[in-house]
Amino acid sequence: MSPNRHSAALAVRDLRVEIRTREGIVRPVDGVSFDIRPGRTLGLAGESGCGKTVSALALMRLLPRGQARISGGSVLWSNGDGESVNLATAAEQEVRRLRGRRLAMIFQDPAAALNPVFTVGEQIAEVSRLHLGLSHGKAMRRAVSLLSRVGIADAARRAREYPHQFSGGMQQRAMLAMALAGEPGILIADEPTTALDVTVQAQIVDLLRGLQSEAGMGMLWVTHDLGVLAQVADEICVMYAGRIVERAGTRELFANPLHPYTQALLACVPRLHRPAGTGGIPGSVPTPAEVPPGCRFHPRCALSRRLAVELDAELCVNTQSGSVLRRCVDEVPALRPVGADHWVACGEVAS
Amino acid sequence: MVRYVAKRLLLAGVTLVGITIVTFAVTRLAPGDPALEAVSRGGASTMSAEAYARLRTYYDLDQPLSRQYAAWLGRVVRLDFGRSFHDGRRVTDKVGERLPATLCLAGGAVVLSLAFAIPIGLASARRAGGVFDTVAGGVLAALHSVPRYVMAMLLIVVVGVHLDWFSPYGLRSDSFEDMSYPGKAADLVRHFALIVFCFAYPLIAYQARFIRGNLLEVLGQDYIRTARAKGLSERAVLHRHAFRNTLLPLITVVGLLVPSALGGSVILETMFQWPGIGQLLFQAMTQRDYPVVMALTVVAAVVVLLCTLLADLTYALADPRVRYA
Repeated sequence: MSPNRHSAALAVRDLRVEIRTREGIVRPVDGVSFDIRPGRTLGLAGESGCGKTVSALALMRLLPRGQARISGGSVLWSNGDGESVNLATAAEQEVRRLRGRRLAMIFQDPAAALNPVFTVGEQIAEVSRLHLGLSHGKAMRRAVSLLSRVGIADAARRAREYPHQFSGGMQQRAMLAMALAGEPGILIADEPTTALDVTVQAQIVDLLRGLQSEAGMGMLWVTHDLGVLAQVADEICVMYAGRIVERAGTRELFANPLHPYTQALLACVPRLHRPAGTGGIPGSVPTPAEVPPGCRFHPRCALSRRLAVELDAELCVNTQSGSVLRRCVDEVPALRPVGADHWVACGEVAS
Repeated sequence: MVRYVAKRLLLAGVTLVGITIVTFAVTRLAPGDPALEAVSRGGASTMSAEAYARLRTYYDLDQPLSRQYAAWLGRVVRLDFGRSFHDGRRVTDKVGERLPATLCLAGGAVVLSLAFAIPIGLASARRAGGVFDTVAGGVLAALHSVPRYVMAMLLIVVVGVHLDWFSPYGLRSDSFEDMSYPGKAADLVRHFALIVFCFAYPLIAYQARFIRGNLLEVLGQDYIRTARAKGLSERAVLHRHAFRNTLLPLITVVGLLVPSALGGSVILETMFQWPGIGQLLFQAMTQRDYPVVMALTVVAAVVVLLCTLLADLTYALADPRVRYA
């Protein structure tokens, strides 16, 4: 509908999020930068608790109010026509104008994300009424056509049903119809397939890819599942403890993972020609309240530990989790380019 | 659905019989005796043992309790509640002429309380912990802890008698029939205001807190985040998406408040000289007017059982998850 729809982009720079807790202020997202480009899909990967969902919510300014806030950085939305808005600092009213219209979001648990007391059709129609100014009747007819567009059979009847009458996959399709209703240039998908059966997952992945190429949306796909990202993403950012540790084109990342964390994550993906049960990554993601100094991954880093064994004792330091390189504890590694379209935040890999 | 309603009605019937048995026994076990009452009404301070025995026979009081109850139940099934021991009028007439006054009172109190509780609850939840929430919460808690009879006394004395803003006694003025229509309306307001407020203020406090708490719970749900992600204003999110989900439990609460309002009517109607069934019950108790007491018990029990049933059914109709289950 809008001519500039295919050129909307989102540039995230040094995004920081603060959460106020009883123990003090913690930063689940601490200096994250990436770009969502028109017609492209950016994957945001990492374990649970690494800050990827918080990042996604921050882009939409949907962080729970009074608890979390964007404390720094910028989220610059632009439509390719010269119009741009910094979502990190824009007034609430301005953000609301873009939400659901220029940027849309779908969530992990579609059963909980749909309001149980309104029909699916009403919930989809609400977006067209709000942003496109359609009448109730027109908006409902549009909701029906959106539902059939996301592959729901007998859409006219289904639109009059309530969310609990839909299966999980259909609920996510309905969420997608709702997201598409505003004809957004950017779609943020937060673990859109995690709560679904594997067969349904594949259907939703196919559907999203099809719709994206059709509509030319820029997409951010947040997931812990690198297997899904291999299918959908053009580029992948790997997050750990609130920071991006590696960024590369999808093919490059899978062929040549450089950060020890990325390597460990990939080792966890089951493959046909490799026995399953790789045992995962020892340890767990630190909570934002207790991030380790220096490189945040060093307590779990196999590389640092291996090098500590090989190198001189004076280059090493003993920590709770064993002997690691001193620089991993002392220096905060920056995200540095290591090749065409490939960045890594690791002092050892970069040097 | 029909099966469900039938089952509920059957259970309600059993409960009703149980309630009447207990009331029947308790009123007759209480000290005092309608036969003695009747004699003292006649002005005599003593009477012969023979006269006393004859009165007891007249009222069937010489029969064993079980037989008295069986006889009573047999008549009630045919909707015959007998005649008042006190003035010999038909009990159905006595109750029927007083029921509207009490129903107006209970209905008015519930409507009034909701009219205040819903906006207060919404505003409190909108900024939980904010100035309005804190002040409203404090005021409502304070109000809630004032017993109704204390509030009634205060209002009657200060607002009714001293300031003479409202009329604290009765349903309408003696000159009501001669008034113009606006005059009649004003007169009704003057009479209704204080007693309806006394009924309503604890309900306001209770419902506002209930609505606030429920809204806050609902506001933490995923679908509220979805509503915000659509770009809806905070007002639309709260009033449309959150409130609709709060309405469901609220229906049940209101359904259960109506009976409690009836319970409060005994004291308040007596204090405000309100010609309703509460006042009638009070009088009947002091006069040992068993047929009236029993009839009012049945009326109250039926209202309570109907309200609970209606609340459950409305809930089912309002919640699509139950409706289509």
